[in-house]
Amino acid sequence: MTISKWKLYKQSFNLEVSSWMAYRLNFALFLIGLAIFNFFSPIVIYLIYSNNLSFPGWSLYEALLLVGTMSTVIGIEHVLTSSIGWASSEMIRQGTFDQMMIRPISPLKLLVLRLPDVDGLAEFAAGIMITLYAIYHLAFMPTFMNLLMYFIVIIAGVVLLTAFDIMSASANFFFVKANAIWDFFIELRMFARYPITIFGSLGYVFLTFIIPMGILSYYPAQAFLGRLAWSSVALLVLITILFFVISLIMWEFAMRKYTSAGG
Amino acid sequence: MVNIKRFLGIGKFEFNRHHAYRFDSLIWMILIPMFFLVEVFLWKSLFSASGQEVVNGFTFQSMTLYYFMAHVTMAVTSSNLDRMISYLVKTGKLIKFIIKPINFFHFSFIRNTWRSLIRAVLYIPPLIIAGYFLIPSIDFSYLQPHYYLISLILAGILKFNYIFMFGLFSFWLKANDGIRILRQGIAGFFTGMLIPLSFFPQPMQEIFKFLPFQYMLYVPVQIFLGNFNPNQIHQMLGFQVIWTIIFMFITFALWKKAFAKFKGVGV
Repeated sequence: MTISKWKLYKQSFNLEVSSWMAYRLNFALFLIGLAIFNFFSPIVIYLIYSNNLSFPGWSLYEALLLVGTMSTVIGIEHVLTSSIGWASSEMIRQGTFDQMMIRPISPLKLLVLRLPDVDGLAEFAAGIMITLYAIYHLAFMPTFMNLLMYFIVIIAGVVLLTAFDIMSASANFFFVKANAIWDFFIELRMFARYPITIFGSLGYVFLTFIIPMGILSYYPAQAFLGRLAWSSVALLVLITILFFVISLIMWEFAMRKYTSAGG
Repeated sequence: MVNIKRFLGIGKFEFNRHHAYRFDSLIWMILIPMFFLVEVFLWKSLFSASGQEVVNGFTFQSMTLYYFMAHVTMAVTSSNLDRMISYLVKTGKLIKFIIKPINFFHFSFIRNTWRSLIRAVLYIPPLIIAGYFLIPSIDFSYLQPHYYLISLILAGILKFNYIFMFGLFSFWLKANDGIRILRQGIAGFFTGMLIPLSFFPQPMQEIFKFLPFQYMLYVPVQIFLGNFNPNQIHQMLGFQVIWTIIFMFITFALWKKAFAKFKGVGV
């Protein structure tokens, strides 16, 4: 990122904070609400385990590490790149996307630089808290290599979600009157709330290769716990890159076909 | 008095609106059975790993039926009315509804009823198809569909009043995204949508009895599953009516204050 782009991002971030601060109580309640939402999955898992049930092969704190990691990954994507999904759909519908196309920077980059989503910080903070709580109670010391793998898979998770944002934005060019395309991609995260092994062998393959939601939670947790080989990490990175490239191809195709909805 | 022509007119408007955004409906017709699928896999794995036949009064079969009915209930009773009210207040467009020869509360209730009916028609059939493949054989003799229907209607009216009340907060807050996300969170968790309330510790279950949330989803579903005897069912229906009256009373009091406060400039 060049200095001018960093400046643009910083100013956009401050602007976004200022716009939320116009309704301070609303902003505070929104952050609290979003953070609380992220504690639901851990509470459900806690209730499951406190009723003498468990995921096969996962202790309570390992399962909490899994959902904490998921919230962290989603939180990072929410702040950095989620605007590609939600802002583009609004702009396309209102006909204001045209403004993005006449700037001296690609619309995709401009969406990321102009519209950081600060409320995602609540999601990120909740994720970090759940993850640290789980690690504290795990009594397990990961090796440096485990940690390195953990962070690599987390980055892969953020890139994968960004690819889904770009795919949903691309679809919005064709289905102007469809608010729910982004919802669809968001709700697919339901498959990442629990270890993907619960879906059986077919579900496991599906959630690794076809809709690789395991990259958001299951695989990073496995990496942290030392249950993932480097070859698997390489495969996950490859899958993520493939999804990202496909999303960029979809975006380019959608941009070529774009006709303004108004203006 | 209910004016049939008015009722049908609002229904036609709502139908056209849904038709315009039919792709959105299609996506949710796919998503809702997918949620159910995840829940079935989750509990299948938990039951088979534990080796227990019954957990907190639920067999695997009744657990799948619980989530199935929870989605049915949610499809009928869910509403984003508070979002609509917030938008109307923020943009000043509420004035258009105030000058109409129909009370805004009545208008919202009719609109909400139509939306519930449309959602039921759209979202329940895909759920039934998913249920046909995912729910193990059902013993129908225990089920209480008639009482469930009464409880479902009461839950819908209760939830409408509850959400309308949250919508009125936007007269004071202007932007109500924050309070709405809190409301959605509470509704998702304490109504029993995510996990049956019998999985909570006993003291919390006792507290839940004095809160309105379980009457919006958990109680109707438990009535359907035959987990209450006739006396308990009557008691639960009574509580649903009491909570509806309480929220109606709060809503009318708030509406009076909110309406006096409303200013629409240049609209």
